[in-house]
Amino acid sequence: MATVHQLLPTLSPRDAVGNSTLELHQLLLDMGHDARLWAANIHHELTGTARPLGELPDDDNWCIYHHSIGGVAGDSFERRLGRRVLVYHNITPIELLERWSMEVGAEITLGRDQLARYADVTDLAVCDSDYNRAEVDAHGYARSVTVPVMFDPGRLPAATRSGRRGRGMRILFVGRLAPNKAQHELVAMLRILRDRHDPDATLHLVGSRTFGSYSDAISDYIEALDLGDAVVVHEGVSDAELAAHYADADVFACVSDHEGFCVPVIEAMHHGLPVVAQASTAVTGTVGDGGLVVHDPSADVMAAAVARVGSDTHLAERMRRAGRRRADHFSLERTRQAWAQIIEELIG
Amino acid sequence: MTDSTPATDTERDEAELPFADIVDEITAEALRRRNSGDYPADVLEQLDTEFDRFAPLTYRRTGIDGAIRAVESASFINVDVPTNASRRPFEIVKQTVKRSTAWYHLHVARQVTTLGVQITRPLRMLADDAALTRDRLASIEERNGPIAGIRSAVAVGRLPLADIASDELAGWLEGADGPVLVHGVELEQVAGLLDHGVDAHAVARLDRAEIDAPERLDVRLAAVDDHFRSLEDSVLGAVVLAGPSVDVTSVDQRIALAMSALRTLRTGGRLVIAGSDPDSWAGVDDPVVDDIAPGEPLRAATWAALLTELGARSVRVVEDTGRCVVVASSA
Repeated sequence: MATVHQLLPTLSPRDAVGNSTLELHQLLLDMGHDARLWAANIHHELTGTARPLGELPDDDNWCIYHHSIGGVAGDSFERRLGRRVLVYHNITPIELLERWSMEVGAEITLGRDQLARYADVTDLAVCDSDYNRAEVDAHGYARSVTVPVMFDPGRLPAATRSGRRGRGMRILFVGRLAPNKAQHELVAMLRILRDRHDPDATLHLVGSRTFGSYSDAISDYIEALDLGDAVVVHEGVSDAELAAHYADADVFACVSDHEGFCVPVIEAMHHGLPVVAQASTAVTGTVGDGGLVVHDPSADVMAAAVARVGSDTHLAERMRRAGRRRADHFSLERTRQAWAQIIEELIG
Repeated sequence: MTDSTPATDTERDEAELPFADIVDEITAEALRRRNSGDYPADVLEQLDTEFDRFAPLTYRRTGIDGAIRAVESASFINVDVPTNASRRPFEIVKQTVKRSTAWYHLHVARQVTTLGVQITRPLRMLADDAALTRDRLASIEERNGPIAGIRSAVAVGRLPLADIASDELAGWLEGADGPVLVHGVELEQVAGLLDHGVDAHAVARLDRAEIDAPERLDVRLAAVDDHFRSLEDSVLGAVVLAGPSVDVTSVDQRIALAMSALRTLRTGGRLVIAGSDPDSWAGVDDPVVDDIAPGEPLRAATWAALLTELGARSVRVVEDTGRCVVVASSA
C-alpha cells in the first residue's frame, strides 16, 4: 500500500475535473492505496472528502496533480519531493477569454507557464485527449499517455421524453456559459435555422453563468435576434433534470472554440442524442465516428447540418446507435482499467 | 466465392452511414444555398456584427479606430423592431405595438444616436492627434535610427575637413581661457593654433588622424559625439565645430552636438560653429554625399537662433568669411 496525494486547484462536485478526481480517488482506495485529496478551494459538499492544500505534508509520497489553471496547487506540486504525475485537462487560451474577463488572464498565463515548467519535474503526464497530449509533448515532457476523462456516462438517472416538448426541433448544449464554448454562435445558428428550416426550433442551453459579461451579451444578443421565446438558459439543474434535457432534445449541437475533452458530448451520445459538432481542438477526437463533425465554421452550414439530422429520422436513428457505441468507448469501466494499469505500473 | 452471411446492424450502419460524406453533402448544399441568395452571406456578417455590439471592447483586438467604430455602431438604434413570432397572433400584436409606438422609438433613437456621435467626435480628434504624434515619432526615429546613422557616417566619411587658417581660428578664439577642443578642421591648421598659444587638441576619426596628424598635436581618436560623452561638464575653455559634422548630419544630430559642446564648456567658454556656406552646397561636393546626406549646411541665422534657443549667450554671426561662422559663449 502506498500513500498517494491528489492535488487540484478546486474540488467541485459537478465539473469534469472534480468528478474525474473523485473517481480516481475511489480507484486508488479500491486498489488498496492510502489515497488523500488536497485542494486550494473545496466545495462545501466535499469538505469531508478533501483537505485544504495548506495542510499537505512535505513527504516523498506519490503525487498526482490535476492541471487546468494556474495557482498555488501547481506550486505545491513543483515542490514535492517524491515522484509526480501531472494530469492535464487543458487550459483555455487567453485570447478567447481576455475580452470578457480581466481577472482570469493572470491565472491562465500562470497556468501555461507552470505547464512548461513542470516538464522537468514530472515522471508521467496523463492527458484527457490526444489534443492535450500534443501540447504536453510540445513542452518536452519525458513521458505522456492519453487516458480519457474518468467519468460515468451512465451516472444520470433514466429519463424518458416528457410531454413538455413544443412543435419544433429541440436543440441542446450543455456547458457553462463561457466565451470558449461559443454559445452565441449557437444562437446565430438558431436564427438561421428558424428562418430557413424550422420556424419553431428552440435552443436549450444548460449551464451556469460564470462569465457575467458574456452571459449578459448572450442575453442581449438573444433579444436582438428576436429569439427571446426560442432560447432558454437552464441554470442549476439537477441530475434528473439534466437527464430529462437529454431525453427531450432532438440534437446535441456543439460549436465550442476550445475544449480539452468535452464530457457532455459523450453524455449526449450515451443518452441516444445525435451529436453535431464543429471541428475544434479536442472536440473532433471526442466525437470521433459517433456523430457529425462539421469542418466549415459558418453558422449556415451548422444550421443545415442540425436541420438535416432533425428532419431525417433514419439518419438520426443511425447516429443514435453510432453515438452509443462511441460512448461505450469512454465507459467508466474502460477508463478505470486504463488508470489501474498506470497506477499498477508506477506505484505497484 | 460469394459471402452470403447477412450483414449485422453494425456492418449495415458502417456501410450506409459515411458521416464524412454526409457532412460534405450538407456543406455543399449550404454553400449552394448561400451562393444562390437563399442564405445571403451578408446575413452571417450581420449576425457577427450584431453580437459584437454587446461584446466588451478591447484596444488590442480592434485598435482605436475599431473601438470608435464599435461605439458608433452600438449607439445606432434600429427602430425597425423585429416582429417575427412563432404564432401568428403574437406576430399581429407585435406589429400593432410597433406601429403605434414608432414615433416614440424614433424620437428616442435619434437622441441616442446624436449622443453617440457627440461622444465619438472628440474621440476621433484624439485618435487623429495620436496618429499625428505617431507619424512624427516615426519620422524622428527614422532620422535618428540606424539608417540615418549609416547615412551620416558615409557622408561625414567622404567629405574633406574644413580648411580654415589657424590665424582665422585664433581670431575667433581670442579671449578664450582653457583647453580648446577642435573638431572637423584640417589637423595641420589645428596644430597651428598651438603657435598662437592656444591649448588646442583635436578630435578626429581614426582614418583621418593616421593620414595627416602632426606629431605635436594631441589628437583624440574618436567620433566626436562619443568623445563628448566621455567628458565631464564644464571642463573646456572653447570648442570649435566645423566640417562634415556640422554640414551634413541631420538637424537632430547637430542640435545634440551643440548641446554637448555647451555642456562641456566652462561658464563664459567660447563655442564656434564654422559651417560651409549653404549657397555653395549643391553640386560642389561629392555627389554621393549630395544624394544621401541626412542634411545640408545651415544658414548662420539658423545656427544663431538654435544656439540662443539652447541657452548660449553673446551669440554673433561673423560676416565676410566665405563660410557660415557663429560664435557664442556658454551661460
